[in-house]
Order: sequence, then C-alpha cells, then structure tokens
Amino acid sequence: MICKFNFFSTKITSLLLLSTFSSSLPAKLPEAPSLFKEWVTTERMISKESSNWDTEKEAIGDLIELLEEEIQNIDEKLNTIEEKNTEGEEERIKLADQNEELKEALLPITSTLEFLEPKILNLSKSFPPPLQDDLKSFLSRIQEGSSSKANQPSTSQRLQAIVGALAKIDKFNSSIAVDEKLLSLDGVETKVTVMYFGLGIAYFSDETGTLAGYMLPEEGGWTTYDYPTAGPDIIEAISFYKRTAQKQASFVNLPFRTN
Amino acid sequence: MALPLFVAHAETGSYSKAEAELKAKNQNALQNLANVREKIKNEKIPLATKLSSLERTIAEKRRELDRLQRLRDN
Repeated sequence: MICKFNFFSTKITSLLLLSTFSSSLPAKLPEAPSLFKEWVTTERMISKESSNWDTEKEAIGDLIELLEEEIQNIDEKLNTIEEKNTEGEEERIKLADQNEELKEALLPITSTLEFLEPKILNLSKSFPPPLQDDLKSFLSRIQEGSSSKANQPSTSQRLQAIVGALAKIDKFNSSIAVDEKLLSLDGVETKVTVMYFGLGIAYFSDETGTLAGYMLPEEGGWTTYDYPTAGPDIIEAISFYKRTAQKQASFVNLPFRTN
Repeated sequence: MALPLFVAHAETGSYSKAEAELKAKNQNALQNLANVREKIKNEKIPLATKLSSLERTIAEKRRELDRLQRLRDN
C-alpha cells in the first residue's frame, strides 16, 4: 500500500513538475529567441556600421590627403606665376620708363623734323624734274609725316624719309645729271636736252643748238634764260658728258650766273 | 517530491536569468549601436565639412591659376 502510495505520489509529483514546467515555459519561451535574434542583429549592425564607417573614414582621409596635396601643387604653381608676373610687371615698368626717356630724347628730333619737313616740301617744288622723280617716295612719306593724321608714320620713319631725301638732294647737288624735256617756244614745243650742274645751274639745247640757254633755280621752279650763242658749246659739253663726242674732251666756255 | 520541484524551479530560474541577461545584452547592444551611430555622426560631420571646404578651395585656386595662366599667355 505504501508502495502504491509512493508510486502514486511520484506520479503526482512528476505531473505537478510537468504542470509547473508546462505552466511556466510556454509564457517565457517565445520571447527568448526573438531577444536573441534581436541581439544578434544589433551586434551585427554595430559591427557592420563600424566597419563601413572605418572604410569610409579611411577613404575620406585619403581624399583629404589628396586634395591637400593638390592644393599644395596649385599653390606652388600660383607662386611661380606670381613671381613671374612680378618680374613681368617690373620689366613692364622698366620698359615704360625707357619709353618715357626715349620719348624725351625724341623731342628734339621731332621738333627738328617738324622744322625740316615743311621746308623740304616747299623746296621740292623748285627741284628739277629728275630730282623730283628720285624724291617721289620720300616726299610722299614726308607729306604724311607733316600731316596730323592718326596714321602718321613713326618718328624713325619720318627721320628716315628726311635723311633719305637730304641724301638724294645732296647727291644730285654734287653731280651732273642729264635729262630731256619739252620747251615751249612761240607756242611750239621743242625737245631739248638739259644738263644740270647740281642745283646751281642747268644748260639746255635742242639738237641743232638754236634753242639753247641756261636755267636757274628760283622760287616756284627753274627759270629758263635763252642764250642761243652758247648752243654749240652746250651741245659739245653734253656730248662730252654722254661720251658721244667724236673728239677728245676739252674745256668748253659756258655762260654762268647765280641767283 | 522535493527534488523534482527544486529542479523545475532551478531550471525556470536559470531560464529567467538567461532571458534577463539576454535582455540586458540586447539593451546594451542597442545602446552600443546608438553610441556607434553618434560617434560616426560626430566624426563624419567635421570630415565632410573639411572635405567640402577643401573642394571649394581647390575650385577657387584652379580658377585663379587659369586666370593667371591666361594673363601670362596673353
């Protein structure tokens, strides 16, 4: 009986235990896995976000380093250019000063040019035709130089024109030149040969020596003076100059006068 | 009868303890996550600011460099 009771009591105890267990477990069990899952998920997130941030931080750090290097490079280039610009600016100022000095040095030249240009232009009207032909290019440049146009030639060009013209005039004045021209006599134009002795005097004669004389430079051009008796001598002198004479060169008497 | 009950109680107690520990760990992990996020945010903002400031500086300097190079070439 006792045994039976014991067995019974054991059974009851087991049932009680089961009932106790079964009454407590179902209420708790569903929460644990979800808690565990949540914890694992959270830990994973911590790990993932930390790791991602570490990677991102490293990348940003590298990028910052690169950008800083780039800034350094650009700064170096800027400094180089600024140094060069400073040098360029200094050079510009130096050149501007030189320009001013040259302008000042040019002032007397300019005033001389302004004095000479109208004079030469005025004188050129009385130059003989061969000299005027020679001076054509210089005279046109002098004409432009003396004008007050915006595209006036530079001082050096004006100076070159004056020097060139003076050289030509001087050369003509110290040499003999022969030219041909038409002379009007009693309404009839006759071709004569003219031999210029510089700008001092010129002798002319037609082929026959009947229309002959001398010319003198005067204001407004060369004035013709008839001197028919000198015709043969003038022809002879011209032939000596042209080397067309049939005899040896000799002294020839020619009329002479100056203004 | 006392022993099985004790075992049952002991098992229930350790489960509860484990569960409580799990809860605490979870809470702790959540707190850690929040801390990590806060730390990331605190680190990210100055770095992002520095990055954009550097990018702006570079853009300005490049423009200046281009301008000076053009001036020099002219």
